[in-house]
Amino acid sequence: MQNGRTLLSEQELIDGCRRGDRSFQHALYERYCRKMLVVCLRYSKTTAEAEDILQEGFVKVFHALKDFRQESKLETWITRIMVNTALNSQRKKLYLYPMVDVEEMDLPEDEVSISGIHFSQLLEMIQSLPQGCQVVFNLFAIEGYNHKEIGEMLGISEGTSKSQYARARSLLQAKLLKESSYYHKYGEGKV
Amino acid sequence: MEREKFERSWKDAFEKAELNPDDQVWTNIELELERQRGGELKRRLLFYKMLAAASVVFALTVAGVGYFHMTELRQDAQLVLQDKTTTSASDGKDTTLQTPDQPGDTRTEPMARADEKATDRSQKAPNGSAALADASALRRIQSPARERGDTHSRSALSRATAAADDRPRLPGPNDLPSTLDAERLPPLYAADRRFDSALRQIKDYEKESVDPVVAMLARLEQRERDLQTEDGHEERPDSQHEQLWTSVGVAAGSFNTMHASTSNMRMLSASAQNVAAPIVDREAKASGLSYSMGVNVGTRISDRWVLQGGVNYLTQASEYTTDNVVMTSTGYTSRFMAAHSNALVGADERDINQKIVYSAPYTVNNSMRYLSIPMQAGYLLVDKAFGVQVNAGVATDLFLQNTVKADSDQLARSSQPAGEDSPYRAVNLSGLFGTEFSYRFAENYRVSLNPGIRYPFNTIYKSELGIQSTPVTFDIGLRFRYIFH
Repeated sequence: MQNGRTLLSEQELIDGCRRGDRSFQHALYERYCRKMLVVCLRYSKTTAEAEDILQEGFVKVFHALKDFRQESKLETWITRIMVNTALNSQRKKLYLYPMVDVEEMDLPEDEVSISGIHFSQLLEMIQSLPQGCQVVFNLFAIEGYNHKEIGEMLGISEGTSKSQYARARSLLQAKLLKESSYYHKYGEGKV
Repeated sequence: MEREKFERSWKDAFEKAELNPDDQVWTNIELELERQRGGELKRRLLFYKMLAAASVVFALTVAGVGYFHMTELRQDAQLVLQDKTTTSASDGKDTTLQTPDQPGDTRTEPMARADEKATDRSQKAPNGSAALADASALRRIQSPARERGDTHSRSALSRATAAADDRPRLPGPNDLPSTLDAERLPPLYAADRRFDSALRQIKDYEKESVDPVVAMLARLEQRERDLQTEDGHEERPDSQHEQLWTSVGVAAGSFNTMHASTSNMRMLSASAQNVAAPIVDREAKASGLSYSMGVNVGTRISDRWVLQGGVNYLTQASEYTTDNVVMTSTGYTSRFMAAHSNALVGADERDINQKIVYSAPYTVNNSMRYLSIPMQAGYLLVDKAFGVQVNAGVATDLFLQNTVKADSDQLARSSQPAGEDSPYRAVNLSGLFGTEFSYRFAENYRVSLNPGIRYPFNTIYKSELGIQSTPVTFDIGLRFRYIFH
């Protein structure tokens, strides 16, 4: 049954979920849960936190599917819901530790490439960033929002978003540099 | 450019990234969806309950107002009839205000009587005593005036009229049109030809502007005629002959457990309770549907009071979601059943820990069956072909058995009759309150709708288990009544 469900088209999945059919809901979850967990992990500090966001996000997806106008791909729409759910869960923390303009760190002269580094390591690097930097970096670099939009989403100024991003980028480059030197020193075994 | 490359490389790195979440995430999602669906169902049920309750309140209000109005009219009619009886013998020559289509003298005396009643009511006004004296004077004057037909009576009548004019309820001279043309009068005054004729005679009699007392008398006369008409239809209703009846009926509704608690659960040790409590908690708090069928008998014990009793077969089916199953092993075979307190009563701690097995969430249907013996007193608010009755009483509910089944075919259905192994009380007492709207559609038959509430006085679980659950049932019944003559 589950294998059969995985062959369903996106439209069939949507229709089945709109009817409230639990097996279709499970099939939709099975199709997207792995990708969405990575999205949630990018905005979280721990796996448990990410799974909470994933759970809440999918409940929202099943409720909101009846209003899905199908103007975008289903995956894009689900990702947006996950990001919004993650932002909601982060807002309390952001409220407690509000983002402020930070001084830009000196960037390394050469950009360090991330090619060849497994995404799980990159994920760890993102999770190690300060809360504000982590959110802004995700929204700007990976989701593709501009600083004005990020400012509106998080209730901060465009300048704050820019400075938070610059700091995030500097921190990541420093980590990458460290990782790179480690890589050169000990070879591929680390990776 | 370099910066864009940096961002794109991060985006690409996560493009195909996937990680497996814990299986528990889907279980939690499913439970949350079930919980929300249950909440939505509850809200919908609550809406229908509120709607039904509002309907009952509205019907009771209408019935109450109607009953009050009819009682007052009946009293008025009785007074008028008494007055007719006492005056008809002595007052046989009056023709002054006689209308062409109404022979005899029954016209002005009832008017006077009704006027007296109006005066009685006006006693509550500050100048009521004066008004009463005026009304008596008016009545004394009117009778001789009719007998003599002389001109003195007119001045006497005018004097009484002027005195009676002080009463607050009487209409002033400006309350009536300046002319008595029936076509211009409001419908109350120009209702029929008899009344027009009476007005014409009054006009001829007074020749002057319309006196408010005359207008009032005319209005009272109209009312008297209405009462007489009503009396014709209202010979003591047939419903008075309904002394004994029997009925068959069905009822359907829903029940909601308002007060449910498992915090004092004493059936198990503390550690086993941690395993069993969530199962019992969901079961005890579950809501569902209620339906019953049965026969009843009723008798009238006084003019307005009735007594009703009977026997009903009552089923209360509830649904709840659980993520446990109960496993029972016999030799080398294991049997899995839906999780329910039936399997937990009498089990020791080791049994519990072995019996309860975690599973994917599924829905359990628990169907409880009772033999209910209701006894109710009813008060007839409206006792006519259309009847309204308020009932209250108690029901003795004898628990028969409950059947537990899951929506999965893999789990066995189980039934538990009343007794030591059942978690439910064998006998329950429930309070009943309801309304009955009935209609008599044939000599021996009456059909009725009965919205009602049933509330158990105690928890439906055995007291030694420490589980509180008192489901309140709201149902609507349809009954066919056969009336014995």
